[in-house]
Amino acid sequence: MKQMEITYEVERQCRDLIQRTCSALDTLDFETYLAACHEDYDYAIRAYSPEIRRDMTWLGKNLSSMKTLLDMIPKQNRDRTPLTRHFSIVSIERDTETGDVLVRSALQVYRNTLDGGEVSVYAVGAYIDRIVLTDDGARLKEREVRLETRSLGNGSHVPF
Amino acid sequence: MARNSKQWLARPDLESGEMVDPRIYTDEGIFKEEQEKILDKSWLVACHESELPEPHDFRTYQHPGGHNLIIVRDEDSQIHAYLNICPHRGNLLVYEPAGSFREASPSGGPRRITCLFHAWAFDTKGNCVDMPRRKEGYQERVQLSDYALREVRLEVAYGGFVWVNMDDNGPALKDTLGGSLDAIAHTLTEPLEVFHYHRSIVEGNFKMWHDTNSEFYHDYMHYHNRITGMMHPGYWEREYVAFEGGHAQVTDMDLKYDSYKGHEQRTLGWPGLGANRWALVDVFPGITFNIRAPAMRLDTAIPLGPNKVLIEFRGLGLKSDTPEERAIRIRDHNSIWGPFGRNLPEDLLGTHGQGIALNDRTEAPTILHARHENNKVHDEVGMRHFLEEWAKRMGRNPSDPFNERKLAPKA
Repeated sequence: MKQMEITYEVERQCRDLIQRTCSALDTLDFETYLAACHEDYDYAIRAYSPEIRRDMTWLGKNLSSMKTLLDMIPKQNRDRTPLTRHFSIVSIERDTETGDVLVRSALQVYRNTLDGGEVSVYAVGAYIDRIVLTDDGARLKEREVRLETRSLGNGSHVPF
Repeated sequence: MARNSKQWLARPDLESGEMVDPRIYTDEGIFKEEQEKILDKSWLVACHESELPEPHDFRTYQHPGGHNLIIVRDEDSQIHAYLNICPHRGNLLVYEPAGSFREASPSGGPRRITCLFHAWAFDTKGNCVDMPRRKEGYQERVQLSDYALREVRLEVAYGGFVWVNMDDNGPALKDTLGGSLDAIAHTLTEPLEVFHYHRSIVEGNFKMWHDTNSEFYHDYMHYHNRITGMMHPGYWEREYVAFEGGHAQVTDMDLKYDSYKGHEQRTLGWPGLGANRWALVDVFPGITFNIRAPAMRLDTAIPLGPNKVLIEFRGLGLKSDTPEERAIRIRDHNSIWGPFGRNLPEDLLGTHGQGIALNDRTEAPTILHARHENNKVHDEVGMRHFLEEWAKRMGRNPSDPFNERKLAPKA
């Protein structure tokens, strides 16, 4: 069906949206991040543990609880090493029932030390996104951060 | 006024047991001695029985004494620990962290632990059952019965945890715990199941991590703990109870999660603990049982060197959980203690910072363990008690580990 095609314009909207979410989290611009999310936002960070042979959900948030989590970050002592989220779209397709766009991206998160600017790979994984195209533009409705990296040093207060 | 070097390095005017020479956290020789005198002689948690639920399942464990272990459930469902090393040419027998020997491997048959190097095979009870072309090569000089695996002492206890001890001749687990885990036995009555595992490697000493688990004065670091704990009267009634062997309990309290914006209402409890209750026991030399109803966390420290520790974090629920209950426990556990939680990353950051600061070769300060508050929550008796056991095992005074006291006069 014509409306299910992935046009250049659809792909561009999705790419811009994902980039916006990455940049917003990188720069701690949480207002921009939340504005990119749909009101029914469903967010999770998951990883499979070969040690216990189970899938694990490390963080689960909706729009409201994500907002609360992000609002509280300035109150918390945390590792302030800047993170850079880099994504590469791997596949993009349309949900034929809802018309939502399903985007899978490879994800790399880099750490850039404040003292000296030494960059290292912090995490690799994938973004598995469901994106809704609205009259006001694309909105992120679901995001699963599927991590391959499971050793994250001290951990992170800011989601990926 | 800031101090010069002499003033800075002078010993504080405190009792010996109230301060610690920083080199016990950084000295290579002391670490080697700890491996020999403490880590190789203590009962340590290798995993939980739920990580190997079926016969022939296995799990590996990196023992901090420098030993690689395989934990195996045999065909009769008994759990054993063996050195993960083939007695032929010393290769690892198992490379993966967990799995099953039920199926055949590329080198060997089903229900066998087969070394991939030369296909020597062992059953799950540790017997050597095959050496390819044994008679042709060894004639009668090498017998299967002489080449069984090295079995390590193991007990499954206190909530189904799998404890191991490298010392064949030491006391039984119960006799080393001094009753510490009996104090929370009411919370360990039901079969448990691990739902979470992650690890952190921190450039810091394992005792620093255990210290952090053994004192609550650092709650000032945690916004979460200040709001849900320190702001409420029950917090100040929490008390340290010391048990023989260097173990310590912090009595439980009601946390006020509803004070923390965004925290969901807790109605699910834990066996022996109502919703919102928090119980904790630190076990010498590096294990912490930590239950914030409705979830349990278990820390196991695996020291890798004087200034490097691998910490395993497990989250547990009840085996009988409904999917809904399990989801609540997982969400609750990870909101605080996961890699993206509001508490654990801060504790790790603290140990990381100590690891950097105390490695100052000449100017690391004497560390204070000197708070006395009638054993209440900000008393540092937990750390002092740990070091009393450390001193006994090591034959060293933590505040003067190299008998140099005369070199550093009091301030």
